[in-house]
Amino acid sequence: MALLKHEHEALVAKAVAGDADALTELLAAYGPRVERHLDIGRRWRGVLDTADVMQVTYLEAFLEIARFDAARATTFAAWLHRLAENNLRDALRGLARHKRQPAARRVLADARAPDDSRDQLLDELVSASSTPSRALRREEAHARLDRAISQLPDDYAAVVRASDLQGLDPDAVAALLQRSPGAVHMLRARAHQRLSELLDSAASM
Amino acid sequence: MNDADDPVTDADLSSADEHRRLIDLARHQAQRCLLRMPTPAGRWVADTGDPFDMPGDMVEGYHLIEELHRGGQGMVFRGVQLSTDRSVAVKILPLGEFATRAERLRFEREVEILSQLTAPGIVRIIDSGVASGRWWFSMEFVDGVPLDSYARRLRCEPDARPRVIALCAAVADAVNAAHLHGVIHRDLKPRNILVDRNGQPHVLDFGLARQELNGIGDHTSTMTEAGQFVGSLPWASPEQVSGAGTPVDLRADIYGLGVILFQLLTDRFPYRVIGPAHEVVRAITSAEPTSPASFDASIDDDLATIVLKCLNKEASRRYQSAGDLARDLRHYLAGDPIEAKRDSLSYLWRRRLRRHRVAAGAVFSFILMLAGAATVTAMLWQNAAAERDRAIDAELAQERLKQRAEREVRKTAEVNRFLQTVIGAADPGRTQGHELTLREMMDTTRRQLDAGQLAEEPDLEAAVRGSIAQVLAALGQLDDASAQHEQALVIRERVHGGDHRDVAESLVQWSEVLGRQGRRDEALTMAQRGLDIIRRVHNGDHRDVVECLRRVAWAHVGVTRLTEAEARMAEAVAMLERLVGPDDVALLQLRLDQTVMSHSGSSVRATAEILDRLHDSLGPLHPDVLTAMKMLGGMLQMNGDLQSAEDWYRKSLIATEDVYGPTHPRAIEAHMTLAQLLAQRGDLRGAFTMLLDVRAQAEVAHGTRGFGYAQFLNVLGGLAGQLRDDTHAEASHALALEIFRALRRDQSGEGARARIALAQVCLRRDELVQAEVLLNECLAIDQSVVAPSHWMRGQAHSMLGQIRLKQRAFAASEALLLQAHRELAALGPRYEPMRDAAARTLVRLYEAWDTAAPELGKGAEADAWRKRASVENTP
Repeated sequence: MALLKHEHEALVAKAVAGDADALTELLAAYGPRVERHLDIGRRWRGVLDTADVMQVTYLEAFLEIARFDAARATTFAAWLHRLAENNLRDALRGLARHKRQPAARRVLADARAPDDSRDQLLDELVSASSTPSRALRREEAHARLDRAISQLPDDYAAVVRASDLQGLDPDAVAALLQRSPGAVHMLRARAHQRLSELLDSAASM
Repeated sequence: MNDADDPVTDADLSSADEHRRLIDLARHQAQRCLLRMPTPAGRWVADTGDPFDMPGDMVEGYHLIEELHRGGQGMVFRGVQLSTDRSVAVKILPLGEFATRAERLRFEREVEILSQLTAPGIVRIIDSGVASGRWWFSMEFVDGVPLDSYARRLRCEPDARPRVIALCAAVADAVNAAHLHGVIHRDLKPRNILVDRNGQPHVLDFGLARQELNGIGDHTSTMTEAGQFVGSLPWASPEQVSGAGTPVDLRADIYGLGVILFQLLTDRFPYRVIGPAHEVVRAITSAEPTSPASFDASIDDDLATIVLKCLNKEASRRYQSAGDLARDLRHYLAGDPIEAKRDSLSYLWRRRLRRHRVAAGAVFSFILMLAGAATVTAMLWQNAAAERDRAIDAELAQERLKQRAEREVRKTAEVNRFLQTVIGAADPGRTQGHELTLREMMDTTRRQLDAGQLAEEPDLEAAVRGSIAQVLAALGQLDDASAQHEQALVIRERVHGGDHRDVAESLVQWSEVLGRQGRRDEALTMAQRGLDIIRRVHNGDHRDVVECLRRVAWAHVGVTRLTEAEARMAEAVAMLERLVGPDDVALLQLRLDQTVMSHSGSSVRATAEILDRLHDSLGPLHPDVLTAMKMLGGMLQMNGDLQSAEDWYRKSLIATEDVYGPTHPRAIEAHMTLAQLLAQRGDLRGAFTMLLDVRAQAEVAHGTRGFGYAQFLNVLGGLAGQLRDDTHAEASHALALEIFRALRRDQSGEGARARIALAQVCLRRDELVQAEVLLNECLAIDQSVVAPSHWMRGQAHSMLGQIRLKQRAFAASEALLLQAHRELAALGPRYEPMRDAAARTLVRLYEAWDTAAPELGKGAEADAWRKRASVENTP
């Protein structure tokens, strides 16, 4: 689907203003070509698919479009491409890290108590955020985390619950959610990023 | 951004649908997520409350009580319709104006489609509208559980399997009803099917359904539909997941039903459905499904075949309608041959052997008796070729089935080679014009089996021996038939061990022959053993158990344990009713058996009721209706209501001629039955004239050298004899006997009948030597064919007594006549005229003897017999 320049600009303006139909049209126009530029590499082709990357990229596009700054970004396509590349990079990183781990550590850590797993997740998230976790009371932090998870897109929430709260191995999460292992890493990275933001905004309220 | 720098190619367009699906999915998730945010994180949702919070009075006219389900297609609430106070389900599209266009369209389409569907098994829509900007519709509330949960609960019960299959058949019926309205569901899965408290399934959620307008639908795959696809991926058909451009029609639903069936039977999926979506898609489009039997050995070939036929990758090789699937599931439940395998010759052999209780039921005998040898050879060649193709085409679906297919093909080829060897011997060039009889064909086949021709295929050998036994039994060769059944049984016991349905089948078939041989105690023992085995094999209701119960009932009749017999028959009837429902034809047929067995005053009424119901369900011209008419006539005849019997015979005759035409064997048989009744009513002339009129038709029906024609001549000759028309009587019986001899079937009851009738003509003409030869031939017929207690033996002794009387050999005549009287008197009222004739001959004997030798005082004997004859003649 080729768009004329003025059509393109009008659609981007509408999309940024919150018109989901316009964004849908833009994604349908540029998504396939962004996908063609993604290079997964031979090593990970069996555990990650470009469609997995695009699925998360489209979700991010809907969640992030309000922040798209037409003045700063070169083009909508470049913006979309960057989202996709970030996702791909997170997926590949996750896959590589998981593969490097000794087999014993890759075994399910399902004996972990729910509260421990919450603490661990909070530590992981808040260390990357501006708010010191120690400042929050434990119960309050847990409640805030639960609320934030419930505000995640369904796919993200499912990955967080399975990987971080239940402590399942990425392969097991992949099997449970019927996704590829690469997609799980990608979803988890995006979910953590969004959780951090949600916790930040909650803490600052 | 310059589009010219980065032109969109055709490859992009080919994947456009997939991208559109992913985008819609993302949009949906993002909207749900943003709507859940407590603060306006996105500008789209600036001023809405929680879209999932539905006040109880949100929909006017309804009170919403509780949320039942929340899914991609909307939220479903249990509620009450205030105007009627009835429970309803209300489905609401919660995102309201934030719903995508696709979601709104889907919702509207579901309303439109449901409003057109009023079939049982599909929830009915009540009303629809928009409330607070949200689309809603109300429908019947089904108080039930999802199909898979229901099936799981059933699993603990003894008859779980048949009930699950019956349930699937009912679901297929409902889906078929939707198809007949042009609606394809496209999202069939256990969660979309609720089973109510009465065990009735209800198909829900037509949100993804598509309507075919005059057969022209939007033949795109469900991959283009937003969002809702992923959850149903395990039930999606290959054509649904293979992307744009692949036509999707009602056979996608057949596939979905196949996955459901697989799931309910095994609690698993036919493929691995956990893992990356692309791998699941690959499995659906290219992996051969695992046979359900490999997860549960108690799933037999037929059931596995039904499931795998649904799961065929190619839509054209699945059932072509959900109705076909429902029918085959019911065939399976009833123990009938399933359509999915009807092309396999050896399969048909097995099923027919199992099913048909009449002696001539085996396919082999049908083929040989009904068709000419040349036609048969040609047919078998065609079958062999087609069978190979079909078997290979249809059954490669899975490795285990593939091996079985090869084995089947080999077996079929083996059977065909066998038949060709046998039939090849019938070639006049090889037999120097000698006409090979069925009996000789059976002998050839048996010799080849004895020489070890099928030693490598013991189950096939057993089946062939069972078949030979049935043909031999039909020919009246009961000893040989019995021996073949015994051998078949030994083989099957060796191959399968004790508890196997084939073993039970052999026992039951053998029991039938033993009963006819007069070995009634053994018959009962065998039938009972068969029943015990089949009960252990099926562990619950099954058509095989019904068959065994029926046989055991008749075996009890054989040893005059009538109470036991009626109890078994009642059990069989009750079981079959549970299996097939109250209106099934098979049940009505079994009820006919029951009424015949418990022959009583009420049987006639019961038979008439069964006839009515068969008539209603099958129409007036169905063969089973004709049979029931004839049986009703027969019962009335036995009850002495000859006028009503005649009425029914006449109705049956007219209908039979309508259905089969006047030159069909059944039409001739109907004429013969009526003629015999007319003769019983005293209208000998009418009966004889009627048969004489259809003699040419009988020739066409059976052929001038056919067994049926000879039987017809026997009846015709018998009527002529009673009319003292010796010319017609002699001509008819002589020709009949000639045909029987040519067919090597003169050593039969029919052969005996022809001889006795001819002897009677000879006797009247004083051709005593000729008459004696015929009567001695008659008495020499094996007792296993014409039993010692048969009326023909008494009658032959009586006539030999007459011959001796004419020869004035008084002592010899006395001995023969006394024996004849004793024999005929033992046969009951029906043979009283023959008994009385023997008594009158005794009177004549003693009078003649007294005249010839008064010193012996035989006059007193004459007086005594005269008195006895007159007493016996007094009713």
